[in-house]
Amino acid sequence: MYSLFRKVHMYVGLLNLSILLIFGVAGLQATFEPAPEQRKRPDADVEFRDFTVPAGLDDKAAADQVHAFLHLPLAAPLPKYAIRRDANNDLALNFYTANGVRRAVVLEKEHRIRLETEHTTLASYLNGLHATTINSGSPDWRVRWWTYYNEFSIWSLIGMSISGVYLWLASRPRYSPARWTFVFGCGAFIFLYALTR
Amino acid sequence: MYKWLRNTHLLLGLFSFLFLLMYGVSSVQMAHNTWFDLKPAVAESQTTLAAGLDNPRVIARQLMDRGEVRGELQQIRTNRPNYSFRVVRPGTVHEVDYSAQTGAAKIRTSVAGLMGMLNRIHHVNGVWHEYTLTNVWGVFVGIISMMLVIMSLTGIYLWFKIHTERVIGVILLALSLGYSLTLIVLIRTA
Repeated sequence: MYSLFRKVHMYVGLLNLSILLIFGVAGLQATFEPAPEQRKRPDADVEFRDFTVPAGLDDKAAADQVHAFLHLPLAAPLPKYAIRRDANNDLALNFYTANGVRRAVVLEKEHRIRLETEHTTLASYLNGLHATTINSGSPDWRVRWWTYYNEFSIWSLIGMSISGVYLWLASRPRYSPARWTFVFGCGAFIFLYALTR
Repeated sequence: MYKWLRNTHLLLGLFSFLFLLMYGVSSVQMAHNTWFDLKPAVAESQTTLAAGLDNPRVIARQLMDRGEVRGELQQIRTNRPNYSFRVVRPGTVHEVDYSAQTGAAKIRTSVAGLMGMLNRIHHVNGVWHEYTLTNVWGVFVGIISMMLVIMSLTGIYLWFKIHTERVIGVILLALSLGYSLTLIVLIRTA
């Protein structure tokens, strides 16, 4: 049993190497992220595209038309709750992907769309990838395949955490530093959880 | 060297066990949100402060001193002479409406269940918060992330030292890196 678990723990770890590193980078990026008011917005490219909103559409249908027209890579059609109008009463659509956000403002009177594309850093990109889960709803096959890998890695993380503890208990349960570290780590979590609650 | 790295891998893994489990379980919840009911428990209460207060920070401080709310002040909305704001900590949100005319403060408190709480802890980021406990969680995010990176790298070394596992390990690693790195590049360049 021990040998089987050790093999599985090791094989699953090898299959998840890159995504575990991505999880680590995402966590470090989150840790060193400045406060929202101090964050510098990434540089953005602005372009305009000619587009006329077909008559008689509601906002959701218009947003779907804009999505289909722009052909933005990786972006999924927006759900109804993400569709809003800005202070000028123009339809403002934010298409989020791991590569950053693309903001489209539909200037109906001018018959065009103002499209703003933000460029993310590599760390932000990896952070975005770590959050791209199977419910992202992206129509893009690359993102979909990534979400399968992400799903696999989520269950792997749970499995490796539990099997790791088993491997310790089955091999060196009396190893004193391990006992203390385990108690200290679990204790810290439980204590913080209770205090926050 | 092998023994030292094996112990490092073990100790880091044991220290981070519950944290990693929390990240794993809350990720399942986020990826499959229909599986879980995240409806928080909501309670409403009312208290009376001095009338005429015109600073949300002072209002929040008075409520905190009375033990009515606990957390970080957010989303201040002013509609003179009334103020609305939230006081938030992971898993708990207090929505406060204060009337400067009467001094009445209505407090609507939403408390998440276990899964909701794990979700909120998962999303803690940075050490810039006004609420100390949130910063402590933020510090642990950094520590656990660093540990995860070290565990991944030491894990590779430990595998490589087991000669009988090298062939199958190389195949799995090549498959995994081939799949993931290809997608990382394809998505980045899309």
